[in-house]
Amino acid sequence: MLDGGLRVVSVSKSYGRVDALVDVSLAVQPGEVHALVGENGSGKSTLVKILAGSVRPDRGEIWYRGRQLSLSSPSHAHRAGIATVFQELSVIPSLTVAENISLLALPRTPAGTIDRKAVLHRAEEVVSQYGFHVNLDARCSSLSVQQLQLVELARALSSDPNVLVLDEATSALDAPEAAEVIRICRDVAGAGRAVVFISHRLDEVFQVADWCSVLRDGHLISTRSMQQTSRNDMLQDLLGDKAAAILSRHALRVSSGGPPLLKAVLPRACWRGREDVSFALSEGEIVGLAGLQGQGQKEVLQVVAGDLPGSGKQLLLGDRPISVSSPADALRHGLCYVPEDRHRDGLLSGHSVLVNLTLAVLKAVSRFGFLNRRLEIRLYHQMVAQLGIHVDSWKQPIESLSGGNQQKVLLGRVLLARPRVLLLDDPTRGIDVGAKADVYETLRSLADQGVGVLLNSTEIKELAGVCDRVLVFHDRRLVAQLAGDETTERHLLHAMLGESRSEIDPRDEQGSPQVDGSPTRQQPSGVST
Amino acid sequence: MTEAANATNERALPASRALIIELGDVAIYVGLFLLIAASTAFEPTTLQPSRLLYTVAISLVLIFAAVAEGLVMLLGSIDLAVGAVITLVNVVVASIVSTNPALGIALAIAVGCGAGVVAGLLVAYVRLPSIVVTLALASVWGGIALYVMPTPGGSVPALLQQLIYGPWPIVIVIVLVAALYWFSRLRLGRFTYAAGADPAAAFRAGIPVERTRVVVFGIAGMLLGIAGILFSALTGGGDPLAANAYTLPAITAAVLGGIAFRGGKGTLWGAIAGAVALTQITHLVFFMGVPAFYQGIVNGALLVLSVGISRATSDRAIVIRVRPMRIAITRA
Repeated sequence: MLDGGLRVVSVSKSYGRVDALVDVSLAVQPGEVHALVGENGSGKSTLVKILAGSVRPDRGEIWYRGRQLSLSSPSHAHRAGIATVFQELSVIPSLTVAENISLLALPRTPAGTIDRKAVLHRAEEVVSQYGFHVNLDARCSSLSVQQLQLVELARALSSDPNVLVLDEATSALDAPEAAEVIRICRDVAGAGRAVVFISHRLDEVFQVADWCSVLRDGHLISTRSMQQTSRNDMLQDLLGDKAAAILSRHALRVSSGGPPLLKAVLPRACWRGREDVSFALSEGEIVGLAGLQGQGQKEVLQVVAGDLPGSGKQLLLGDRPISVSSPADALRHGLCYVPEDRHRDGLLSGHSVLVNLTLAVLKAVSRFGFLNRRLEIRLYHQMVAQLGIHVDSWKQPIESLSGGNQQKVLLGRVLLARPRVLLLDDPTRGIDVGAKADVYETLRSLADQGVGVLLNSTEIKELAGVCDRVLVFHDRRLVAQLAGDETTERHLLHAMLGESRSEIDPRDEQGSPQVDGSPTRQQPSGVST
Repeated sequence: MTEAANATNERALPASRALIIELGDVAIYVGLFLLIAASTAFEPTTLQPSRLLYTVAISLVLIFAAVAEGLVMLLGSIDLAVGAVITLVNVVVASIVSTNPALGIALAIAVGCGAGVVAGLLVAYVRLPSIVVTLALASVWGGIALYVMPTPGGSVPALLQQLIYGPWPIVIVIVLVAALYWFSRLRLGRFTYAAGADPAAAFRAGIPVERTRVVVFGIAGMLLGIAGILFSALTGGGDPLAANAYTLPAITAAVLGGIAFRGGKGTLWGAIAGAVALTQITHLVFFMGVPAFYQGIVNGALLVLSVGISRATSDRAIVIRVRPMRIAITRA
């Protein structure tokens, strides 16, 4: 019976010592939409990449209609009838919508040139079949990101795939466009094809899916029929056994509330939000920034760090206004920043651990412009001991360290600069559990020494376990501030999904758009503009 | 695979010390050694002190050009105006100062530095690609050189002409090697490598990437000023066209020396060795009786070949562990 559809059989994949997928099996029938949900790092995207042919599994098999597929490249997957729409756009801006839709199989004239009429005709077929609202003659450079996402979907459909995989294709979309994608997914399934739908938004999953599989830490936790599943069941599967969580929040939590340290007023334009936002950070406080992907929380952190220009922002350090237009400015004022993607934005690959470690304090380790190698090495040993970095020698190239140790080097880099405020962007992404625990301990001990920490994280567990207070963003607004007993995973998830808090917590109204300080604690009120 | 293996090694050998030698950094010295051995086989006089001195003397201009080019390449940029700046310095020195050597040196360094800073400002602050900026500036400097001196002529202070005779070439190279050691220990040196390896990461770490670019372009310009003096000493006069041909060999020498096009990788000493090797290859080709017009073909082929070698050796290192004794070539 299972032979009719797509079957993923006992697939495993690991990167170095990190297991991205462990023995995961799925079956997707023609005519069904199968949703895949999980937190960041749960292995969803690895599974999608395997289906798309861009990553090969270490073990396991993929079957379609009783035939085993060898997906060794994206073109193999394409020929096997699996079309994938990625979250990152691959539309070519200088071509028209019609050309982009037929890009994978451009019809040609006998002379070998591109047959423009046929291109248009083919694109029209796809667009009319699924009822897309796009102008086929428009250049893609003139379209919004939302429209481009639809073009991407139309392109995937133009190859008449047997299996359509959507990897968070709705995350950049507003409600009407997302609804259109959901309708198209149902139509595609209705036409007897199999659809794999990945989304962060549980609402969408309930609207579109027949089945839903939950992944957590690379393991398949459950596959449920949507008709017999409640929201609570799904949340339970997503978050896992709380007792087993590495973070016992009460062990790490220390009550804080020292004197105010940093106040920020960010007009909406500077963080590309829908409303102005202001917040304060006290000495010794760890404040989280939470939200689904792309709700503006990352930009807020980048603006404070000077990584985005953010003109018009006001920052007060203590009582002193400071001007921060680059990370170098931020560093001068003791605002130390660890960017998100350590490979792309943080580390100097090909260079030694030492070079990477002392990069932010070169002024302090040099005299008359000369670097003091001995002092550098002393600082290296100090950080290796303090953070528990596993490393052979300071000369070792940074790439030869595991992800967790690389992240510790980045953390060490800013610690050497003696931060007053630490600005962290998803510091534990893709690192192993032990290293995570080390990072959390370091953050807490820094906070105990009076450092203020602003932590953007995509992991709810982390926010709930580490933060004293969490600012939650939804729809590019600051919608809630949770503190104290409210910073549970469940409260956070509800707020991140943009749902009213009144159903869970009758004491509070739905988060007001501009909240100053914490509503439940004696926090300093925000800066008035 | 390697990453995972290395990660396990870290755990297994926490205290052992490892000597790590970048293959790309040492390949040129091995190559230079083989080249000299081959030359000696063809031409037994190669190793005589006077011949070695001569080889260094005729390499001098290219050495400075290659180090200047190497500096810019460490930033992840490229300088296509190397030959044009040397030419400009040459005609300025030959036409304006014919008697005062100190004035000649000062003027040469000022002209070179000015040219470098102009390119650096355009690259760093206007954010134009260096390949375009320096190609355009090469044309501008060439035009100015022709304006200053339409036909070959002028003269060079006699004292400057002595720079390429006797022990001076060796002294100059030793001073350069020492200066490069000094540079490598400077904060600016670290800034240069960081800005070249990954400008975004360097910016986010708080490094003044733009300022570093301008300063390094300026220093490279000063080195070209010195190259211009040495070129003037070699020719004894000014020529508005003669030094233009230095650009391609300078790039070739820097790449031969292990400096990567993508920036942030390699050593400037390698560029010196690369320049000597390139001069020796040119000499060898000439000695073997290959007609001079094939030289261009050889130069071009060498550049492509050296980029290939640089690809093959990049990110590979020789790791020597003392305890337990083990030597391995790994991919970094």
